[in-house]
Amino acid sequence: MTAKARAFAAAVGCAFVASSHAALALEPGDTDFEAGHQVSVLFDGTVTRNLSYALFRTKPILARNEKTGSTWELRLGARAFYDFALTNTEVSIRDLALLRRTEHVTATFGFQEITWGETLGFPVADIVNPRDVRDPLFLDVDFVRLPVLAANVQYTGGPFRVQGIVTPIPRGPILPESGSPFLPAGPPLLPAPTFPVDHAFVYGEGGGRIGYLVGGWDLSALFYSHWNRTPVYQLVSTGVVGTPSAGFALRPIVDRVETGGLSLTKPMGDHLIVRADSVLNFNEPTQSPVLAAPNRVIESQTVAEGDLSFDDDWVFSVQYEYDRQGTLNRQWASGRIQKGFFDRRLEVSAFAFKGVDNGDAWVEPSVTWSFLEALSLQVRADFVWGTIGDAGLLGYFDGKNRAFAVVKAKL
Amino acid sequence: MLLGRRHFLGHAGAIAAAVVFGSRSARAADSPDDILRRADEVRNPADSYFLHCIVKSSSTSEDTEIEASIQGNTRTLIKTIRPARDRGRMGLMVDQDMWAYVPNLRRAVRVTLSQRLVGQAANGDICRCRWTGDYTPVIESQTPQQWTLFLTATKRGLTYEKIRLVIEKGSYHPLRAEFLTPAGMPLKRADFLAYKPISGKDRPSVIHIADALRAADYSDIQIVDAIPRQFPASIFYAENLK
Repeated sequence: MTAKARAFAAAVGCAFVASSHAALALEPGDTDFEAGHQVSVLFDGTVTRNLSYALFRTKPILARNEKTGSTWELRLGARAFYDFALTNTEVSIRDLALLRRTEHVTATFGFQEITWGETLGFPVADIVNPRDVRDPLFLDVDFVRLPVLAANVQYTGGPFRVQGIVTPIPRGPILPESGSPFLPAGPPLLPAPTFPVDHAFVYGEGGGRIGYLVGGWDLSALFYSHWNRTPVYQLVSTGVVGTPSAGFALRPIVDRVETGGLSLTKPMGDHLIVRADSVLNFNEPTQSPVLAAPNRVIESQTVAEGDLSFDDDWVFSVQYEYDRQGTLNRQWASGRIQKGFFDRRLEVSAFAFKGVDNGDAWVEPSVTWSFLEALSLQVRADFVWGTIGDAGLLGYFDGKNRAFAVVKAKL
Repeated sequence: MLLGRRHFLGHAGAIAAAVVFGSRSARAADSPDDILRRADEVRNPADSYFLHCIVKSSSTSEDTEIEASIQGNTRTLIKTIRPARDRGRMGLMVDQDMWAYVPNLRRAVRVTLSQRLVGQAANGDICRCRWTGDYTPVIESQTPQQWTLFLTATKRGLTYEKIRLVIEKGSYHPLRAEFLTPAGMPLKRADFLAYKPISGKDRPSVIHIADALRAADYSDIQIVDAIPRQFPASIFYAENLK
């Protein structure tokens, strides 16, 4: 048993003991068990994902002050999966945190997810948690967002919110394995550098957000100092030149990035919501198309979205993203149509994404059928086009068309 | 039988009290505002309370079971318990603003007032349990047994702009309501049924809401429990839904 596995077993053990002691304060909707299977097959027959998973989450209330309503709560969650395609098993903590709620303060300490940003899809402001990018086109955030060990304190009063976050021991993204079809080239991938625990606050991440709700406008401003969230690779030589050990490898680039940004939402009438996120990333490393050493630039990313929903379960969304990396400008537009049938037990949607000034294109039709109260099946396909070397993002994924299916049971 | 007898005695006491005191106090003190406030007190056990209910809709064989944390008339947090696939989904309504917490996204998303949180019931049917403050009442008509109040919305963004509400005299029990369009056309009808002791007072345990034109399209909100409870204000913020 590895040290990691022992630590995880101890954490899960503590969590179960703690939750059983607090069982009297566990309300009916506060425990979740989900099991499922996901299959992703590229149209060339490559199986990129074939995994069974189980997810457990609970949030017992440890103590409640009946006079004020203040609580102490636990957040516990773990997921285990086995991937038949990659023959690997993973067990990960999804939540392991102590939460304190008072009249105006909500403080959470421990492993947690902290979501920022208002737009859906392009998570430009969702920067507190790194992501699992082994499959960059798989955007199920509950699966790919990686919890971080953080102190997260939020003050709320009237229309104001102020939040401060410190992540003393940061966590990097989980990158594709060597040989993955989602890596930019064939050479092996070197391991990403890790952050030494004994220099926690030297390498740590942190920042905050303030928000204000006025006249239906929900506005927030954010700042976060973190390690780059978008993977960037550089081709480097390995071994000793002139010997059989000589070769090339991809080195993941890790750089500190400072992000500042703004978010807003506003309902326009009873059916339309507009959302927008805009961030500036200082010192953002950029991917070289020839895998040379990356440049560091100021990157600005802005996403504006409109969602129109109707009583008969039609939803229409349009989104525009403008991204400027140094002197490079690029734009995309996307749209989604969704319709629910049979009291939303059957949902059909189509998503289309197109580069305005680049060759990116992505189309994703999807059907989700909840055929029993606890069972659902989703089938979708991804059709991807892109050109390496243009301003787009999808060049490395050109032609990686695939079918994806997930069956899920929730108890 | 014992329960039934106690229930009967309770009613008999109430009727006797109404006969002795009711007619005088009804004439002297029952302004439309008072009547509406007393009717709200019948539906709501406290200013801040926890509500557990089951919504049955004609459009689906599946029930929706929810818990709601209600503070005043402007803050409601709803958690879905059933169906299992929606467990963990939450809806937050603060004044005229609404958010939905989507478990798959692990975040709250701002939504419009027209997006349904629960089954076929309108959000306002669950989230706004008090008419006082939201509506200006006038007595449209009355009989010896009941008042008919006509309510006009005092603010924008409410689920219904006009309501015709029938309230039983003496008990202040809301009996039925007609929800109307701004032009006065009926949209839905609600019947407040199956009064039984909940949190120390007789309250309707079923609210039957039917389409005004198609009575077969309905939702029944069954109140399982309503318990006075204090909540910290911080739970009514979208960022704190987790």
